[in-house]
Amino acid sequence: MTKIECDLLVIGGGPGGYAAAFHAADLGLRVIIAERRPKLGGVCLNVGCIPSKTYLHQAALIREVSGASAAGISFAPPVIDIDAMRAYKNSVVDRLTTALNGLASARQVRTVHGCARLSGPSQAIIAMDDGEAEVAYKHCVIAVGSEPTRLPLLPDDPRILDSTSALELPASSGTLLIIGGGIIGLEMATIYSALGWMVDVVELSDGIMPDADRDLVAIWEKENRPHLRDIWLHTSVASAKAKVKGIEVGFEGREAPAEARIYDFVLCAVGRRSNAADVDPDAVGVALDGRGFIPVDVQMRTNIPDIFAIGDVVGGAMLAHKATHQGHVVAEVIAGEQLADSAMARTAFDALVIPAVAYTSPEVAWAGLTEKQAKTDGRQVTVARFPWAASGRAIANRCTSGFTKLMFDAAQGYLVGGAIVGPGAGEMIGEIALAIEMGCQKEDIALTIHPQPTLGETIGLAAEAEMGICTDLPKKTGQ
Amino acid sequence: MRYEFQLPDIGEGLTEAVIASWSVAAGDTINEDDALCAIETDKALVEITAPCTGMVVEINGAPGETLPVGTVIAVFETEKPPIGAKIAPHAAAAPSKPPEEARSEATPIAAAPFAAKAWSTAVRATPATRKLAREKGIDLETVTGTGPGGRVLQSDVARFAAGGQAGTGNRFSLAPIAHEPGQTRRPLTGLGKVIADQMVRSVTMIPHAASAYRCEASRFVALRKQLQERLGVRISFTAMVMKAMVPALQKYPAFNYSFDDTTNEIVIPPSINIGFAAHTDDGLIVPVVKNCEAKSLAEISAEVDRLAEQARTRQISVENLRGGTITLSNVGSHGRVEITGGRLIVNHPQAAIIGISRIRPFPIVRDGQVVVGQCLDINTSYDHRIIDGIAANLFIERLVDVIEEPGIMLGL
Repeated sequence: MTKIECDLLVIGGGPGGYAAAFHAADLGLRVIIAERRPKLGGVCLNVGCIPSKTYLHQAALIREVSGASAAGISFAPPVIDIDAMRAYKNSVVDRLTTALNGLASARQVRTVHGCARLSGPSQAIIAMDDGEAEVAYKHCVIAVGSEPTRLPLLPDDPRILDSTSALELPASSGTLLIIGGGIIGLEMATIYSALGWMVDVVELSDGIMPDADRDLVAIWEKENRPHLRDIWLHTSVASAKAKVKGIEVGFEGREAPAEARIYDFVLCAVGRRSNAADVDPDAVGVALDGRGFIPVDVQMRTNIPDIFAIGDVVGGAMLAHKATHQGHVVAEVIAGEQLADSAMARTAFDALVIPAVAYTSPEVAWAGLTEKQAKTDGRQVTVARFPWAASGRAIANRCTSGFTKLMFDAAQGYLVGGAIVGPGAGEMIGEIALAIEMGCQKEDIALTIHPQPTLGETIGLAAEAEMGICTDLPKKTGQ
Repeated sequence: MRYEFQLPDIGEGLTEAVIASWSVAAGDTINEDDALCAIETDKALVEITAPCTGMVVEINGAPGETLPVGTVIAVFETEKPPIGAKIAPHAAAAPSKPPEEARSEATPIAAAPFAAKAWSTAVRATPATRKLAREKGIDLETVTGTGPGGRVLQSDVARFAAGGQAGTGNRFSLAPIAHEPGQTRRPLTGLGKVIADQMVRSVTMIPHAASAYRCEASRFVALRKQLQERLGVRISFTAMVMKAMVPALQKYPAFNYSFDDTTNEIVIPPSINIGFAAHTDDGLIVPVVKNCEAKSLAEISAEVDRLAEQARTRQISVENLRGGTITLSNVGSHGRVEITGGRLIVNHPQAAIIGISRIRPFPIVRDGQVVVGQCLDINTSYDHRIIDGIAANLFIERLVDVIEEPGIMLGL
């Protein structure tokens, strides 16, 4: 068996794992990444965020173009070559993952391809195609992520898709049922409906995008109803049978259709489960909670002092940008301890907000407190809303249904949350996240000159509305 | 499901409390409203009851430990969490103790001394300021922010690290006492810390003036004896003086005022609420007898005895420690030595404090003759912003009139 010694073993080379590995290497540690995929980048780069965005961009383009006739430009219906789309997607993924391998080797971070498991104190075994390697580490970071949950009642059939196989675009058109009205399900609904598929969405709870405020979701629904066949809330899949002509699905619940429906494909997007068990945490006593996540403290340390965990495996928001930030935190804590730099060793995860974005058409993005959460917490906030119908740029761009809202602490007037629905919402939410982290008062945002005419300007205008100085809205109706 | 129970704010303005004792251990099952633990705060010992029925999974906070309000002190596994409760987020779970054999050789420099702060209670500071504070090992909670809305700035952290603190007159810095062999140290916690803070606040904020007086109290003593015989109850001197203070405070109410330093306003209360200094093993506690103007002497006396006993056993409720408008300190009630004077510290934000000595024989001059009188010495300190020496004389004169000739009370 090959023996490898290192300062830091990172298990999993996704956005959390590679960020931890690269930062630790930059700080002077000898780092090994154990990665079971052939390429670094994890779900995000290989089968998640990045490939889905290449399709979502085309989907937004199709929608945009189809509405352009109102502005005097008419296009013929799009001709869609899904093989070319898929190839383009693959080229984007390849370009990024190849670049990532380059970044790794430039730092002398060694990637060992195989499944790693913890095997004893400060020791792990990586099972590779051609044998096993035993790694002796000083610190270990578990960053093995998550994978889609599969409903047990679904038959074992290639026509049952998950978020990974759905990105392979199994056919150029057909009927698709999406189980789960969360962000992943709705992004897939956006892609497939833009490609001309007949799409239904079934959601167990009483609203799609359950974490988002309802006023945002209402805009999304209004814009998307014409592109989807049915959205059933408070409804679940009661049965699913693989038939020759398709998957026959029966429903139950409040809005369930009486008859079973036949679909060419069924996409299961009901959530993701932790991969923590894959590293054999019991072997060294790393504790898991009841749902298979690894509890950590604010330094991302597990109950075993030399083992840390980051990203999806620690639960909470399963987002790449959260994992990356946590990766940087652990790299500093670990390097601080190994290099006896006590200031660096005190690094901790203390971000106030993790922005969430649904890259749908229109996009929905939010950061910090939602109105719903403020209500639950009994937190007193004031809400300022700027409707895009009052934005010159939104009128020119035909996206007047969007809006921007900001929430401020009622007593002290500092920003505690914000949300945007409309094209480019994901691009703009970063300003709101920054303002929250900086503790901005409404004046800080309103008195910062935003470029006009832009959609991003609506953030400044909402803060002006809060101050009562917005002259693009009728007086005192800025709320 | 798991429910994380946070240290509640049981009194206005409470920011931290000391765990006094636990009535349960991890693994115990408990019913809603059963005793969970006792906490010591703002001069009172308060029992905290269980918020739900279920099993105690974990308790946090050793007896004697000071914890900020909002800290998770117990985790329950319960079928029915309290209404409005948030269910434990998995990301914030506290790590359990690692098994010894799995511990690595690397010794952690910082053994995770950080507690995750709830978003709504986190100190407001930019990410760069938070990083600076962490690197310097400074808890942002302890730094006074000078930015808008109390935001902690990088300059505040730097000043704090250099030994200064904004807002408390940082014209000088405090040098620590050198650590030396044989020296031991004990942090101020709980009641001791509350008293220390209150004394600094009182002395820093209030320009004190003081006056001392002597009066003859033989009729006062005789009246007490007579009342005890006739009413068949014990009447304390403290209560007698409180009762005597009422007509003096009604005539010269400035002694009953408070001063709001945040707004520079004189606050005129609707009633006379006299706090009295009660000695306990842990330090002074000041219970308050409210609405003295509406109570009989027997009622005041009974209340003083009851509150003093509750204070001594630390069972007094926070409610009985708030709302005082003036304080009476019976400095003569302890010890063998005779106190003849001394400077009292006004209990901020009140305007005055009255101190009384033990009544004892003393030579006095009456009708040109030196005779033995039963003397009571009275000291007062007062806020010189709103009470001057003449006003103090007039107030004490009225008080002395009543003590020397208690019958006057019939006419007041």
